[in-house]
This record gives sequence, C-alpha cells and structure tokens, in this order.
Amino acid sequence: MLVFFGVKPMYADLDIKELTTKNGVKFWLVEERSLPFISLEMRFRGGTSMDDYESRGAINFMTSLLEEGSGSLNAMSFSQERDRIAASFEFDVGRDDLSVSAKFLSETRPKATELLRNALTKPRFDMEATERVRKQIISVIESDKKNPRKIAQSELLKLTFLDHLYSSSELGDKKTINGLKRDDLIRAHKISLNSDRVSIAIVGDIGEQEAIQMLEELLRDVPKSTKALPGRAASKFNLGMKVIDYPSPQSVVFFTLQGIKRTDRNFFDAFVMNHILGGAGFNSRLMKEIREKRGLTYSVSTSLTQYDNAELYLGMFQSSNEKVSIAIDILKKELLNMAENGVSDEELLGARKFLIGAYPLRFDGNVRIAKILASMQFMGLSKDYIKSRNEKIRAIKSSDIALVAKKLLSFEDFTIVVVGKPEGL
Amino acid sequence: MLKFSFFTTFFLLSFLLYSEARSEISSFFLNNGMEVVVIEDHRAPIVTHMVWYKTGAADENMGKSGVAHLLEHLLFKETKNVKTGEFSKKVESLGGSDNAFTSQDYTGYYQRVSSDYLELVMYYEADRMKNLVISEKDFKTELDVVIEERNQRTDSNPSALFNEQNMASLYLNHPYGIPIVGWRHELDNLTRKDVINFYNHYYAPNNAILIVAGDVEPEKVKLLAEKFYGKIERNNNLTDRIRPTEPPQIVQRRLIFEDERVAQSYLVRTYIAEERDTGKQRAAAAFTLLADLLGSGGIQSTLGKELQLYGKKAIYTNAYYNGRSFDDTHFSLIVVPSDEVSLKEIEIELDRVINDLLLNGIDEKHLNRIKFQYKAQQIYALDSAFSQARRFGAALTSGLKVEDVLAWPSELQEIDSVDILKAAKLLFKKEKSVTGWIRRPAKVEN
Repeated sequence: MLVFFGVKPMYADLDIKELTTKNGVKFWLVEERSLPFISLEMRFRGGTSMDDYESRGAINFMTSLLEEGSGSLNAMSFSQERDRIAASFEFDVGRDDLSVSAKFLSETRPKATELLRNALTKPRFDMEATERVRKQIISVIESDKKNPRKIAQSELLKLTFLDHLYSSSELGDKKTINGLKRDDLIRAHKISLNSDRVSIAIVGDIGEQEAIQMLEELLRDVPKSTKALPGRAASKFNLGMKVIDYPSPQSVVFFTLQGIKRTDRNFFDAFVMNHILGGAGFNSRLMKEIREKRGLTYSVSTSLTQYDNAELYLGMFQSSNEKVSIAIDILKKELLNMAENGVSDEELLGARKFLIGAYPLRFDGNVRIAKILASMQFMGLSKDYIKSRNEKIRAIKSSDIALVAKKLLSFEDFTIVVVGKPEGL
Repeated sequence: MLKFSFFTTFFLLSFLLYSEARSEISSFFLNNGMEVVVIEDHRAPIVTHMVWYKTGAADENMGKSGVAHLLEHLLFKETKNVKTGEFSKKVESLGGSDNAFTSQDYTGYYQRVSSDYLELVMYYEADRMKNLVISEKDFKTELDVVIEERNQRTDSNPSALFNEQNMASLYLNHPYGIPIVGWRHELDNLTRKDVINFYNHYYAPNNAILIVAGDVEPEKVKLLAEKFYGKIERNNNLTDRIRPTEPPQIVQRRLIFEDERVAQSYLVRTYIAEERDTGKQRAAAAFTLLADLLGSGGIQSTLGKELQLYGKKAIYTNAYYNGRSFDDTHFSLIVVPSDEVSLKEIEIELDRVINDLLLNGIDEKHLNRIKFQYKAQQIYALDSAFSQARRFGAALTSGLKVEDVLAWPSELQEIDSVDILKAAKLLFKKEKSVTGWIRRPAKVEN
C-alpha cells in the first residue's frame, strides 16, 4: 500500500498586467523573461459571420492573403523577410473571430512589428497571389465535399441554422469564390480587422512600456468598425435522423441538441454534466459504454459549443456500418438516462477533481498562456476569473446537474446526421 | 549522473546582439539497464512523465502485424495490483492527462500532472511494465476498438490507404512496409497469446527509457526511479534489434491508386534515405535541409517557386524527411497539380525541377534563412517541456544517444550547399524511387 504525502495546492499564479494604449486599446501582458522571445495573440471579433451572403467566403479568402504580400513587399519578399528573422505569424479565421498568433525573438521585435503591421493594415491582394490562393481554396472546397466528416458536420449545421450564415461553409462555394474581386477582398479586410473589436494578450520577454509602444505601432492604422456585428441566429433542433449515403466501411455520426450560453447561470452545471457524459478522456459515460465495454468505436465525444450567436450541444463518433445502429441506440439511451437520473455523487466528485486539477495545468508555456488570456478577454472574462473559476466548479451539486440535464437532454428525436452505409437505420 | 548544460548561443544579422537560452538535461542509467533522461523546466509546477519502449510495430513477428499497437491499448486494462482503468481514473482525478502512442520503432506512454504527483504516476507506470493481466474479454473488446480505429484512420481515408500501399511498395523486405495498426486480415487472426508473448519479451527495464520533463530535480527523479523502476528485473533474453534489410532497388516502382472518394488528384514520389545514426548524423542533416529547401516556406521553396509561383502547374507542393528512425527512413515529394494539369505532365515537371536543382545548385540565401530558423527553433522549443520530452524519446528509441540529440542543431549548421547537393545526387535516382498517382477512377458509362 502506498501513501502519498505533502501535496501542496497549486494555483495559476500569473502576474497579469492590464494595460491600455494611448488609442484606448486594452490588453493583458505577462512579463516572462526566461526565454528570449515574445508571443502575441490577437482575436478580432466578427470572423466569417461578417460575410455577405452573395460573397460568402470573402473573409476566409482575405485572411489567407494576409501573409501573401503587404506594403512594399510582394508575397515572395514578405515570406523571405519573415523567415530571415525566424518569426512566425499565423492568421486564422473562425465563425466569430479572426485570430493572429505571432511569435518572434526578442532582438527582432522592431522588424517583426513592422512586418506584422503591414500584414494587418496594408495587404496588397496582388493578382498573382490572389489567383494562386483562389485555386487552393477551391481545391479545399472540392475536398471537403468528399470528406465524410465534413459532409456530416456541414449537413448538421445546414439543418440547424436555417438562413443564418452559420449554416453555410465558411470557405464559400466554387461560385462565390470565383466571383470575388479585389474590391470584395478590400472590403472584407476593412470589416474584419477593427481596433475596437480586438482582444490582445502578450506573454514573454517584454516590459510594459515596450509592449504599449509595440501595440501602438501595430494598430496605428487599424480602423474602427463600421459594420454592425450579426444578430442572434435562428435555429431548429430535434429534427430526428438523416442518413447520407457514402462509400465507406464506417459511418460518421454527428448529432446536436440545443446548447447553453456561457453566461447562463446554469452553464457550469452543464459544463460538469458534459464532462461526465462525453467530455475528454477515457472515462466519460459514452466512452465507457460505446468503446470500453463494447468496442463499437475508437472515440466518442460531446461538447458545449459556443458561437457568438448560438449555442449547440454537439457530439460525434464513427462506427462500422454494421454496428452503428447499436451505437446510436446506446447513445440515445445514455442521453435519456442522464436527462432522467442525472449523475451520482461519486461521478460528480470525480469530475470536480479533474476539472479543478486540470485548470492550472493549462497555464504551461508562453504561447499557450497567451492564447488562453486572449480567449478570456474575447469571452468577456476578467483576469480574476482565473482565481475564482475553480470555486464555481466546487460549488456545483448533483441536484443542479440533474436540473440542467433534464432541460438539455430530454429529447428523443435530437438531430443526428449519419454519413456512410449504415445497416439497420 | 551525466549533466549537460546545454547553451544555445546565436548571433543575429551580423550584429553582436546575442542571447542565451538554456535547458538542463540530465541522463543516467539504473542498475537494471533502464535509461533515464530528466529535462528541467521550472516555469510552472507541472511534470510530464513518459516511459518509452525500444519496441514498435517493426519488431513484430511475421504474420502478427498490429500486436505492438494492440498491446499499447491493453496496457490501460488491469494488472495484478490495479483494476481496469484505475490508473487513468487516478490521473484524471488529479486533473492530469494521459495517453500512449505506437510507431514502427517505439511504444510510449505518458502522463502530464502537477509535479507533486510524479511519485504516484511512477508507481502505476512501473507496475504495468511487469504485472499486466490480459483477460480474454478485454482482448476481444480492445481488438474491436483497434479495428474501428483502423476503419476510421485508414479505411475511411484514401490518402491513408495510399500511404499504406506506398510504404509496402517502398519496403519490399523490411517491416517498415507493414502498417503500424496492422493489416486487417492479420488483425482478425491475432490471439491473446500473441499479445502476451510480445509483452513478456519486450516490456522490461533494459528495453525502456524513462523521460521526466518539467518542474523536477534530477536527484529526486533518480531516487524515485530507483524505488519504482529499479527493482524490476531485466530481461536477459533481449537481443539487438536486427531486422530484415532491403535488397538493392534496381527498378523504379509505380502505383496508380484509384478511389472514388479522392477529390483532388496528386502525386507522391518516395525514395529510401539514410536515417540519423549515433555519431553519424551528417547525411541525415543534409537530407533534412534538402527537404526544407525543396518543400518548406511555401513559394520560397524550390518546388513552390517553380511549380506554384512561376509555372502555375501546381496548387500545393511539399517535401518530407524525418531522420529519427531506427533503420533506413524515406524522403517524399508531394505535388497537387492544378485542375488543367495531368498527373503525367506534373511528373515531367517535377523531374525537371529535380534535374535543374542537381545542375544549377542551391539558393544560398534560402539555405541561410532555413538554417537561421533552426537556430531560433532551439529557443522556441524550450517553451514546451512536453515537446522536448517527445523529441528525446523518439530519438533515443531510434538508436540515438542524448549526445546526438544535443549535437543535432550544430550538425545542421555545419552542412553547406555542397553537402546538400551531394546528398541530392545520391538520393534522386529514378530506379530507386516509388511514384504514386492518386486519382478518382475514370467514369464508367453504363
């Protein structure tokens, strides 16, 4: 028998400074001098939901072109200059935000700032780069049409979000992409990167004054927003099952129920419930019932997905065509079981321990910390949240979970999309 | 205990600005032959604990493909002392994460927890090195899970299916030609006894490497390692890893892979290439830089510039080489042609670009940028103790020593364009290649 002694509590003891540039842009800084580099994360609210219907895909297209030439540098010169100082700039766009992840060595800060500023404010949209990237995007659109997971996901969103942009692919389709002109890209740029809609975190080898100066330099020519953010998305749930034929030995299953808002007072109850039902790791109920006991899948998971204007309770797994109907039966049974009976005190205790213990482990590495801090601001959380978050988890009772489970999961006909050649459905 | 103080010093833009970053690496052996590596990173009170076995899919007996990976799954089941799932549950109750992975050359297990719990995860990991119990029921269920994994990762994905065929064609005789997850027909016939035999033979301290990375002191790790792993008996029946070798390749091999699920035709060219060997990493360093010159950095790369930017013949190009391998590894080129360009035409273009490179030599400025990125990478890499641990584990199970891992960055810096060209001339011989065309079948009129 082993006994383990002396376990000290661990807190995420980050010294986060809240600073403001002279143009009024707020940001968070963690000075971490042990490694000579700086990690910068920016999230601009809006994302591909700012697209117009008729030019769907413009914002994603524009984002792909941010690293393809800016200021006096064409695509080739820009990438050479960036690599010459071993800086890394990643531009990514999602349904509600455009994110910029930059990483550069301390000594190269002035040059890195200049290159990044140009990429953010003076993209060239040269014809050469535009046509080259246009072909790449169309290739991805065509590939998605043949990818069973993408097919399932896209059908699920189509069923759920009737005429909101969430229902369509962020990449647009072949027709809209081929129709996009340089002016459309310029407009997409103007409505996607705005100084009054950005959340910023900096972690690394840089002090307060230098950080402020760097951001003033970076954002000097970033305009304020002119286009309103989109409104709430109308959505439809509990539409039953839809099967799409696809040649594969395995069926892909995506399903959704209505989710819950992050700001809802029962959100944390749902968060803990999700962990027990289908959260990460090998020990969720769905993993146990569908994988561990019966070997029907390699992996099954669920998540409380948050969009700015809608909330889903999404899940997915893949199972052999001949076994998928059994797996779906078990899934339905487990969801209803959770709705009717909630969780046991033992399960709650286990989930609580995991969620509380895992939280400080996230704060590991400059790049990871910068991403978390930018996300927190994007979600409207204060920096004190880091200290209070585990208290919220600790306070949850199994009766709270039972209530939220009943509310979220009491639907036998929740929407399921199956892509494959399933037997017996 | 061997302690490496590993300083990275680099100069920038020919100014005398320089900076230093440091990672403390310690390494030692236990009396039973188990190697231990400690990587210190004291920024956060977190530790990654990994055990790597110097055994992977390429060490399986003929006809028993998939055993190494299936065993990896079964290590999460019961032991003489611990119930099924208890270890994972324990790690979860600490807020930690755990998982495992199998390659051709190694099998690795890890936990990432608060550094206070190092002792606890060590107890469990040491326990399952020797005390695993495999019940018939667990064996059957987990075999089903592995078949679902194969369905999901390979059989549902035409690119993965092609890769499997490509490796089987490249390696005629060496087991790298057999997929890690196992051939489907061989998976169906695996028995519990096959897995138990594999476990009893290979899971031993003298075939394992312990890597502990994060907020830990090497002296403390040594005490704990001796306590938990040090008392496990070595297996004296383990022999050197000698696998069947390849006959000289005397003719080019060609594959045409057709699958209606392919959206975009593409071409893959593969050559066998020397891997990193202990004390002998120069050739691998040259291949590494050659792959970067040809494929990385988008339109700056030779393939990107010639085929995407100038010729407009391709929409995507890349080159891959990974020198961390126990036996000879491979070098691959990938080209996705534009819509109006056929696979035949893009292959002619690819050969032209390779020939031009052999004739005209290398863009020195591009090479310097790549080398500088490797210098910077030494600093960026220190941001993740977990990734450092994986890097060491993969290297040490591929026949390399800690010294080789530490020497690698300077080996890369010492390679010049003459070395790279020499490596390219050795590599790019059509009779020593496999060329794959991946496309949709032509439409059949009914």
